[in-house]
Amino acid sequence: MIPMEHVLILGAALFAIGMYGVLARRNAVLILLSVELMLNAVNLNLIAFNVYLRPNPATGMVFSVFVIVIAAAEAGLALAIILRLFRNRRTANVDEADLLKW
Amino acid sequence: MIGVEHAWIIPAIPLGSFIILALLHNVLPRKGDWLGVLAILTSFALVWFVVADAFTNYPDHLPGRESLEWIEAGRFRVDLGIHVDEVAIVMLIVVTTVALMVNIYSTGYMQERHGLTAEEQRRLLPATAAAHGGHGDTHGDAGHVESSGHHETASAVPEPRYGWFFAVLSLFAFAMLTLVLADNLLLMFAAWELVGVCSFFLIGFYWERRSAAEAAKKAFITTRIGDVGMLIGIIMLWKATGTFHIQTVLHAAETGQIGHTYLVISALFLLMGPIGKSAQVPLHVWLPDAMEGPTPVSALIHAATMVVAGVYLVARMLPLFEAADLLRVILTMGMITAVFASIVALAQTDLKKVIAYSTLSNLGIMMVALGAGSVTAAMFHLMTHAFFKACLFLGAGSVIHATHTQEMGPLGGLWKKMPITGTTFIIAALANAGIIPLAGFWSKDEILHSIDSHAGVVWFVIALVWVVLSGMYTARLVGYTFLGKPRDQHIYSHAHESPFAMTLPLIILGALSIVAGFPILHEVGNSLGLPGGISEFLLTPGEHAEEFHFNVGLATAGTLSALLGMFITGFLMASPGRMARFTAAIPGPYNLVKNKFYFDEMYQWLIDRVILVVAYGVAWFDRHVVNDTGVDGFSSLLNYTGFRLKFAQTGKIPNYALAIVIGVLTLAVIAFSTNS
Amino acid sequence: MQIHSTEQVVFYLLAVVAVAAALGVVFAQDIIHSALFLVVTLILTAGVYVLLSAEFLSLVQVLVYGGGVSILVMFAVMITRVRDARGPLDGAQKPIAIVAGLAIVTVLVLMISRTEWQQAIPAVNRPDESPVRVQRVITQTDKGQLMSDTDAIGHDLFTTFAVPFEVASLVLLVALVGAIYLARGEEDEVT
Repeated sequence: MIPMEHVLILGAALFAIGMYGVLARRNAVLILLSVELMLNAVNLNLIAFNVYLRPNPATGMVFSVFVIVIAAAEAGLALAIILRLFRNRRTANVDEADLLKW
Repeated sequence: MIGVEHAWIIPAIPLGSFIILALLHNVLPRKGDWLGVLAILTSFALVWFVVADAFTNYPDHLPGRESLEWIEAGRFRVDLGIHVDEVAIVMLIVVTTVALMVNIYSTGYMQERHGLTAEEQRRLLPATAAAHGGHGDTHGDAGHVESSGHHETASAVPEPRYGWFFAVLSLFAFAMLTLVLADNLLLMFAAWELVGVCSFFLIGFYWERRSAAEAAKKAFITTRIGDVGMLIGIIMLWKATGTFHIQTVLHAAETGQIGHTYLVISALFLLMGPIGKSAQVPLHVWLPDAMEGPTPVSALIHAATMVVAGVYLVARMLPLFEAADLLRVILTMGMITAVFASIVALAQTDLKKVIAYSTLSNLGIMMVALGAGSVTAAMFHLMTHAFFKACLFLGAGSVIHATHTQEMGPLGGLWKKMPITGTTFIIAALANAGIIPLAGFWSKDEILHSIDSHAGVVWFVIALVWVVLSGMYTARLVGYTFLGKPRDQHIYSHAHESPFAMTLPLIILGALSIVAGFPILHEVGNSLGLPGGISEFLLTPGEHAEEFHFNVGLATAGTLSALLGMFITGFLMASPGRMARFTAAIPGPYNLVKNKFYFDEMYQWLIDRVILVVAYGVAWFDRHVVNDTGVDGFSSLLNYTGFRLKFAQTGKIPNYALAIVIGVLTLAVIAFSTNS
Repeated sequence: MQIHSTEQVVFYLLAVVAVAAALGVVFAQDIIHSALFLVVTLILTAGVYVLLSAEFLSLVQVLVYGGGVSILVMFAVMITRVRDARGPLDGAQKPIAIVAGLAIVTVLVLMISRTEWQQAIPAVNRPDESPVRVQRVITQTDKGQLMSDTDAIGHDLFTTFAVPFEVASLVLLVALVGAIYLARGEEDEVT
């Protein structure tokens, strides 16, 4: 069977790649894609822990369902925000939306 | 049945009256003066229940105690409590009696405002002026001509703050009774300040007049100097003993639980309060100026009750001062005040100011008695003095009411016109001089006795000089006002006896000025249901009960001294020009006395040349060092740092995300380095 | 590394391709490519779920992510016309981001390898003891019937996690309303 560590390492790799995307990209839609990648890695971890460590009850899986729910909600909202940003500032680049500074 | 432990009700009633009056005096009938009188009457009646309970099976019921928790924070605890002992009971009687008399008197006296100039009158009551204006434009001119002619032309107008006056009188009664009953220094201090603020309100009651406002301010600030010291003393005692409770503090002081130097310093600070409140030299300057207030106020607050709070405090805390070896200091200070004030009283021309200096002088002699270690003599004199001095002030008020002037110059021969006022005034004046068998005689005798037996012959001689001086100014006071020929026929012809509301308190207080001294005698005390003469129970613990014995030598010395003083003045006043020639013969001393030894000028110089200079320096330091360098310097520093650091905020989201990641990595590194 | 079964072989293949696709997501210089790489990654992860006997989640993953979310992203790309956006797709902190990503993966791998999983894993799921397959998430119902993972999730979702489930539905509703409100724009606004 598959050793659990290997599943976890796959999750870690996906997570790190997603995080790199969040930090490196400047386009809001791409950042959103990277965030989805990170959430997916988390899901992988949750399922692996559930399956290997505590098969009963299916807590990890239920959590994954919730994560997917939140991810969907977040995607919808984030896209609406990006839309707004684009309408107001004619750009989807996060480093151009810097009104938050001094 | 109301027992001693229920004595807290006595101050509570005037408090309720104050709250109602302060809020509602404009809607109540007669502006609520009856409520003030009723409240103090109830308190007065309740005092006698307390007295009855206290002296039933004497001394089982004393001291009466009652307390409830006020503040508790950790080990810090203050109770709101009362402590009723014999000294407090005497004070209760004095305060409620005089307050009742003054309240009744005020319903007559305060109806109208006297001694206004035409200008003040116009400012105060535009409506009245307009009504009078119906006579034509000449009104203002007529007023001007009149006021340039005589003092009395300033006419009276209805008092606009009549209800408020009674509200403050109630508040004062509450505060004073609380001060008397308080069993801890903190509560006493609060009441002490509260009577101070009532005094401030009432001295400045005619605040339209600039001198009244100034006098109120002066009184408040001068007494505050003493009060700050007193607060320091209280805090020092609390630090040493951990409690504000008076009896516990006294016990600690007596048993030597407080270091001697520390005790002396804290007692000196504590003494500053009485010096300010009881107007001892050098903080006496406010009391004569306080006569700007309405005359009933002078009688109640600045003669009978509030100013003796200092004497009361020293009497209560006497074991502490004894343990601190400060009795000689109190004695000296009191004697200086007594003699100084008597001398100044000799040259004053204002009716009320003479009486005010007489009050000062009597307060001084009470301190002398305390300095001689005799609470009995001091408290006894406090009681008799309250009655005859209130009578004198109310009599003076009656004169002002009738003549609209308080300068003695134009008065004279008023006894014929005002028989009741004149008679009671003369009785009270004789009591003040200490003529047998009036009230003042007995208490002065007791004081002379205590000085003789505890202080030494030098002090005794000075005290006799003081008695002579008292006789001199008393005779001058009466002679100028009620005896002799009228010096101003106009005033004389308009003078009239005051209404019943004013003469009734005069009669009662006049009677008390006669009889208040008798309870010193063992038989009189017994027949009144007391455990004996006043000297046999009115003491602090540690003082020895002593039955009063009539000492012929002492009584003769006292009375003869007083008579001598009165004779000197009488001789000088007997022939019209003699007094003027006498004063002209000694211009130097006379001016010195007339100008009150230049105390006010000295303080003014001190304030202008010393305090203001120091204050200027401090203000410079505050502005340039504390403010510009200290406060502003720090804020500028922060401002600049913030200005520099704000560029770290780029507003770009990826930078913040990176910061989060760096934080997580740092935590991970820390976790690895500490775990492995 | 010792290969025990075909399952493992399939897993490693899936893993390698998934990581490659994920790298494609973050390094592609065209947004459409990035989105398609994401879909690939998500579907491959769904395959891993199957290997872990989580068939239900695998299905959800394909449907919700591979379908719904991806299409949403496509819509966003279309509406905002980001393909016409000026300038590069990567920001100024790209070099730092590479370092940070490597650091994170190092930390995570270190942590995984240092943890003593052997004590935590039940004996049935240790590779040495059970060479065939991961033990399926099977529990018995009250009546003694076997349950698949779908049964188990359904059972737990409506018993233990009933309240969070309802809250999640509320969150979805709020997100829906919020997204509509935000995206709607003002009356006079011309998109």
